[in-house]
Amino acid sequence: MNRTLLRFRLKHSLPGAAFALGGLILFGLLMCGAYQAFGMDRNLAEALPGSEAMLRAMLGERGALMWDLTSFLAMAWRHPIVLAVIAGMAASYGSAFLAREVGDGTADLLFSRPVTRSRLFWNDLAVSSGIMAAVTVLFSLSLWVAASAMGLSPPGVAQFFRAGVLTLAFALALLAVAYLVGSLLSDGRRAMAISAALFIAMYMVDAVGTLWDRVEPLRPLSLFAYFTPLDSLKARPEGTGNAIILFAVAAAAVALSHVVAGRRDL
Amino acid sequence: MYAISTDSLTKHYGRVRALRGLKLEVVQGTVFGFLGANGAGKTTAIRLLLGLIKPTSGSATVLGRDSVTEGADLRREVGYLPGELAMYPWASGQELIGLLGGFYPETPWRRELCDALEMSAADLRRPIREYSTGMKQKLGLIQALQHAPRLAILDEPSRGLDPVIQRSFFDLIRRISGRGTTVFMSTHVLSDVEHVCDRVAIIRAGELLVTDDVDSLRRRKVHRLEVTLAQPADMSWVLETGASLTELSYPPATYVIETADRLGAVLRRLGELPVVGMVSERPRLEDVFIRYYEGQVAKP
Repeated sequence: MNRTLLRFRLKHSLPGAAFALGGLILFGLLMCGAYQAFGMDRNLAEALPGSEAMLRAMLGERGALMWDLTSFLAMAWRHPIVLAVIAGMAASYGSAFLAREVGDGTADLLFSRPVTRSRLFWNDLAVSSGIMAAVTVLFSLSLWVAASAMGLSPPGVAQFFRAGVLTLAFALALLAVAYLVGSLLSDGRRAMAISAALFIAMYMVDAVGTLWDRVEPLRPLSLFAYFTPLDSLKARPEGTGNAIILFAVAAAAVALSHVVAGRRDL
Repeated sequence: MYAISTDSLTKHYGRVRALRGLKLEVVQGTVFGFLGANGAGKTTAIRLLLGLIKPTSGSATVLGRDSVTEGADLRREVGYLPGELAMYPWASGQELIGLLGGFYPETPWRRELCDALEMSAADLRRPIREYSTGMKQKLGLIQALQHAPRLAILDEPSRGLDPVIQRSFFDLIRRISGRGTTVFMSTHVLSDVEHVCDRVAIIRAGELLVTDDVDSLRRRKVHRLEVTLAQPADMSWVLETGASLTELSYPPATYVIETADRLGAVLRRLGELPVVGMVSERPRLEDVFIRYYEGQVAKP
């Protein structure tokens, strides 16, 4: 690892990441506060018969829904705002390494140093994945702290840890896919737009597939289908299985983008 | 010993043949000018030398290392100024130099460079987005030369520099060349080449036209004489010598004579005529360059 490069990348990525994390934590606090202040357990339980389909789509849950705090927290975790922040960060970081460097012309400066592309790739990935890990883990932790501090009796910290690991796996899978897109293109904005469009398409497949049986067979193609914090919070084995699948996708996409980045012209 | 040696170096982008069988040898310690119009293939050749792109066929050896398989190692001793210089606008000059210099052992040379190019510490603390084109170019030169490389590859180095800084830049090139650094300079500004280069190569449409010493190339120039006579005279003898003749005006009787190798004979005959004025411009490399570009000179 090149320390100067790590410091440089961190310095210029941290403000944005801190802003995103602050937003996520604030969102979690508001959700927990709203749950407590407005008795949302009762309200949502009463509303459940009419809005179960929508809630199931949000949770990525195929089976019958039992409404309680755990389901509410899982809904907060998979809320479109949270997903948009995580996917946006992944698309932005993934497109920055090669596509944006080449498109902006800064690749000529960076890649003409006495360092292999492979090393630059791992450096960049270390910074991006480190930031994604910090954001997802701190967000998960903040939800547990907020729910506990408000006396909501959330699931144990072990379940939160599992959900945090699942969120990290999900974020890394998105990040790796965005890296792959970025490795193939020479324009940062285009790479970011394509990654974002891909993520939206995957989300739609997952959400619609939850509700509509004809689309359901396509759900395994969507990374969102494996992001099931409700499984982790309820300590179901599916949560661990999904985390493994997401980590495997991340590893495969990273390996592929590493090969592409090493072979392409700059 | 060659600092750069290429063998049939070829690069195609789809159907576009950016570089065709380039065979180039740059002797260590020389200042080498790589001349060509925009789109001639200069930048493609440089990017191949640095291992940023891979050749379609052929090979390039830089400081004894293969550009494809030993790219990272060869770049340790190379300083590179890109032609289309893009920088991180949010970073300060100091940060950028620190980032790019962090890959090499530290040298005291950076301070000297900043002084030579009149880049103050206050300038370096400012964000790059506030820099003028000339300041960016100076920063580009500093980052390229700060580690005292054995080979400096400079793509359009004088672009955006004001005349005063250009002069300092040429002095700088002579200084680093005097210390043994090989300078490979791509440009289409012929005066740059005339100022500092020992040898020059001319490239057109991806194909090398000629490689020669600057002085030797200059000797291939066309001498252009603008002669004014007291009264009109029969000038058909000019054509007999193999020179070309253009009647410019009358009165006064002014003729333009252009000759590559019959200057002595022309001058002897002119001595017999009532010459009242004669203008002979300093030989320009540009004339040679244009003649090569227009295909008036056969490839050697």
